[in-house]
Amino acid sequence: MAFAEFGREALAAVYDRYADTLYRVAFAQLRTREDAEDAVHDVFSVYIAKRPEFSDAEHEKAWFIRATVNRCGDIRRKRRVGVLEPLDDHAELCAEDETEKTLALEALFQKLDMLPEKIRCVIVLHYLEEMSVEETAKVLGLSRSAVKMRLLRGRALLGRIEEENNV
Amino acid sequence: MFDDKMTEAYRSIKAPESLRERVVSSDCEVRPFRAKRARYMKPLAAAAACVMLSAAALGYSFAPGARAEICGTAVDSGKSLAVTDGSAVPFSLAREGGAETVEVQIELKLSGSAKVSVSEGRVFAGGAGEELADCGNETRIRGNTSLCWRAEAVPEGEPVFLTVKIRAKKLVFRLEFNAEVGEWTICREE
Repeated sequence: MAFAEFGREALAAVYDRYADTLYRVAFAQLRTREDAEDAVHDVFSVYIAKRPEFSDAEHEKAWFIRATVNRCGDIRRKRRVGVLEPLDDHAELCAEDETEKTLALEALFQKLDMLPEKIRCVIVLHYLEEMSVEETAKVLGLSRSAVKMRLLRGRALLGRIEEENNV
Repeated sequence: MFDDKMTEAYRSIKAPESLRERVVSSDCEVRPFRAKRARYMKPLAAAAACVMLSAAALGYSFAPGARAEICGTAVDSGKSLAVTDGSAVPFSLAREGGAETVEVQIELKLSGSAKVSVSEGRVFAGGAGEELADCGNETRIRGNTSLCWRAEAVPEGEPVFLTVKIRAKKLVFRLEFNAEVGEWTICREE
């Protein structure tokens, strides 16, 4: 079995390296803990099965994030959710006494919900995961100009929404 | 855009311990991504068009001036496409708001093996098969092969490419959205 050959320790090391990032990215796309967990689990399943070779750490990271984004797209299509449902799962991401954090997450996801899926993904990777434009482009398989365009659109959309809310 | 509290709250999100156990333990089974993916055609409302292309690759070598016959029908538009090599194949799909995905089905007739890669999007086996490659990596195919190339959010005016390498030769398909006329075009590049 591929998994046995792979080695539990090696897998655990890779998991620890990327799991939090992948889970955050998946949650930002899918907005339920269950789907986010499934997405991350499925990505690692493929990783174990295919055992892709990477030229460097950057390549490895890009593979994992891209696989996660793609898997989220698959799950979303299966759910046939055209718009994000107003889910409250983010409240469960925090401990009971972390009210401030819960509110901050609620405000964050409200903003992200306003964005189309493709723009949201770029915004999450660049602004929240703090990836450069170039890294984001590599991960998503886009050109730098496409990433910049989506960032621009995302900022414009969020800016417009904030203006409307302040009126 | 996001204040420090939002960013900190986001960055504090951790994958649950139960997920770690699930992945690292022996319960991590290998499940194919697309075990039961039905062959599907997206309607125009869902903003995708399938274009059947047929490209004949003659063995491992291309004679000078060799042609790839591309013909097919643009589903949904009902328009027949007949094109000679090098000519753009337009298929009529208005790029509406949210119309972000296009699918192209390519039939390759090979007498040996080849490597397929895309500059954008993903490649699947046939219309219902597993994912073979995405942007940045290659997949090897052998013999007659049906491929489905799905490209999402292709920026207007920026062509994307699917490349088939047969030894030292290349067969390249160029897919592009022409915003002026509101049409996708696909052609084989010489």
